[in-house]
Parts: sequence; structure tokens; C-alpha cells
Amino acid sequence: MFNTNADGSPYWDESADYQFTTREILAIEQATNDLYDMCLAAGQAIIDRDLFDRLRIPRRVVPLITRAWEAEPPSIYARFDFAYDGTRPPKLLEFNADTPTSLLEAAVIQWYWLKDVQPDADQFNSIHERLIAKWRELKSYMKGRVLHLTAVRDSVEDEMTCAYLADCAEQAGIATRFLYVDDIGWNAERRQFVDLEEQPIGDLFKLYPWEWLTSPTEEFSQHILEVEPSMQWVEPIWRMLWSNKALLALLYEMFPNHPNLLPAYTTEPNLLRQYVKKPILSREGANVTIVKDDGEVRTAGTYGAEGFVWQEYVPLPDFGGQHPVIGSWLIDGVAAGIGIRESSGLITGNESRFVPHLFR
Amino acid sequence: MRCVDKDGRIVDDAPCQGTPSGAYLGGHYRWYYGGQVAGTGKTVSGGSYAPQAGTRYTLSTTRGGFGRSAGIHSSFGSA
Repeated sequence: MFNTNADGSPYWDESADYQFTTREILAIEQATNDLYDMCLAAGQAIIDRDLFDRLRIPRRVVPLITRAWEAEPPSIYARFDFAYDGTRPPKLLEFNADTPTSLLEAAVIQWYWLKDVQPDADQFNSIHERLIAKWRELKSYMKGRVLHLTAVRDSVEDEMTCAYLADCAEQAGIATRFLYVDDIGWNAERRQFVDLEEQPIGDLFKLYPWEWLTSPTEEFSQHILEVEPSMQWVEPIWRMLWSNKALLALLYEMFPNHPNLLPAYTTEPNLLRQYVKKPILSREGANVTIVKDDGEVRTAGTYGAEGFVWQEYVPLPDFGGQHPVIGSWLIDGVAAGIGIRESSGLITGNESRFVPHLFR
Repeated sequence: MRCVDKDGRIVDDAPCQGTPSGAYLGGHYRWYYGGQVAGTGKTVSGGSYAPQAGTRYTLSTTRGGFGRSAGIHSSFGSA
């Protein structure tokens, strides 16, 4: 378990906590559930109106996405990121629908903090129970007898997230096995993906984004179509419709007056005077540019080849120089709890602190 | 058929690529034919270092076909 960033600064930080009213929690919960329904509508619109090119989704994966969307294979979790000051409605900043993390902190760690430090308070958090219930439900839909989980090497956070989800699955009665992404084997004779024991992989939870799995850079991407009948991926490939920040522009186009949305465009800033320019596909705040009246803030990175989205800038709340972003978790498509990450800067990165919350 | 080291432990196929059947590459790696199905790192058994006449053997498993993109985007940590 890591609680410290690479630079020695704390990641898990209980020197402070965020305290909500019931009204504020309900506002976050309502926004989460409403936005999920809107994302379902947007996903259907992408398919019905053939908007894949607008999202820069490669044509070669469109049939896989469309079939998966119709088939509704198992799907576990996702996370909206909100800016919320307790007064204006929560504003959607991003939707992490493929490989969200900071899950263990939100589901378990902050719950134990609450019981130890603030036992008379409550917390918007039923993530753990809902995860186990969802795995239990999915057990009968599995292609094989073992759930495999995979993540990249050298990422403690990702391996920990997999370990936690494996634990939830085990509590639901599912046998699990972990392997690194580069240890996944392709058995050319049996025409299937296999683990290090040469056992077939029929159900794979992957903490590795779809845009990478399907990239021509990945030698095994050519086999994904071949295993379609015999293998299930969590999250399923149709999440490529959502894990794409061009979705923000489509949502705003479809629901221009919705209180939880910010104006967003996939062309130049349009009428925005202050805006955030983000790569359509990126992670951990890389390659983000914030343009404000008083100047510009940029982060470095290797993303942006697929294009950008421009979203209206909304200032994050300021609590003693710290700026929180609320991560609102959905388990099985339902709002299940929140986790808060804060930083002294305006862009949430990999080493922003996780701070617990409560409500009374 | 599997690629094994000098102790009979299964390794990735890459070191054995291009090695004639039965040959011993540099004293380290050679092909093993048939036997029990086992994974990388396990010791082979039930087969032979020489192919049986009339039996067709194929390369089994390759690895490393996923993961390359993560190395390109070195700022990986998920979202």
C-alpha cells in the first residue's frame, strides 16, 4: 500500500477532511446519476449517427464497439470528476470510464478513517459492498472459471487497484489470477490468450486503456477480434465511446442547458474566453493547457496526437490554497460514493493528495 | 514445443528462435518437444529434446504483445 508520492509528499492525507451537508451529497449523487443517463444517450447517438470519426475512434474497432454495445457484456465501474463549491451545481470536468483508479482509497481507506476518527458521522460510500455484489452477479456470465486481472509493471497504484478488485471478486466467490500486461501470452496453436500457466484467459479485467490495446503498436491487437466470441473484457470495448474527452463536447451539444455540464467543443475555443484545452485521449492531467484572464498554465506529456477538446474554465474551490476535485464513483451504473483529490495547483495529477470526507 | 534453459526450465520462445531442433544454442537454450503443458518458469517433463519422427510440433506461446504503449507514454498511472 502506498501512502507517499515519489517525491516524498503524502498521497493519503488525513491532516484535513471535507465535510458536506446532506443537501450537497444529494446534489453530487443526482448529478452522477443524471450524467450517467446522458452518457448512455450519447453513446447511442455516436453509434446511430456514426460519430466515430469525431471521437477519433479507429474504424477497425467500430464493429467490435457496436456489437459490444448491443450485447451489454459485464461492466463494473467508472468515475466522474466534478468541480463543486457547494453552491453552484457540480460541474463535470471529465469522465473516467475505462481505467479509473484511486478506488481503494475511496472504497476502503477513507471508510476506516471515518470509523476511527469520526465514528458519529456518515460518508457517501457504498463502493465496497456494491463492487462485491456486482462481481457476484457477474459470476454466472463468466466465460471461464478464473477472472484474470492485468496491469502494467512498475505501477504500484495500478497493481494495488487490481489487488483490491481481485479481493472483491474473491469475496463474491470468483477465483482470480493476476498477471502483468506484457506477460499475457498468445497461443498460436489454440488461438487464444493465455496466462503464465498456459491457461486460457476467458475473462480479463484490464487496467490498461483500450486505445492502447487496439493500437497497431501492440502486436497482439490483431487478435482481439479473433477472441471476441470466447473472451470478455472488463471494462468492455464500448467504453471507448466514453473514455474519450470528445464526449464532453457531444454531451454539451446534446444537452446545452444542463446545469452539470460546461460548454465544450472539439474545435478551437469558439466563444470561450477562459478555457481548458485537454487531449481527447490522455491521463493524469498530462498535456493540459489552462487559459485564463491572468495567464496560462500548462502541463507536459506525450498525449494529443488524436486531437483536443476545449472546455470552459471553471475555478476549483479554494480551501486554504488547496483545490479539490470530487471523484464520483459509479458501480453498475449507479452513484456509489465519492473520493476527493486535491492539489495546490489547478490541474489534478498523479500525485495529488487523497483527502477523506464525511457528511452529517 | 517449448524453449527451455540448460536446467529444463521453460522460457520465452525468443532465445530459441532459429535454433535447429535438437541443437543447443550457446549452451543455454534449446527446444523441448511434447510433454506436460506448463508455464514459463516451470520445469519440463514427459517429452524429449529430440522431436519424434512423424509428429508435427508448433510454436506455442509468445508474450510481450501487449504493453508497448505504456512505455511510450511514460507518465502512465491510470486516470
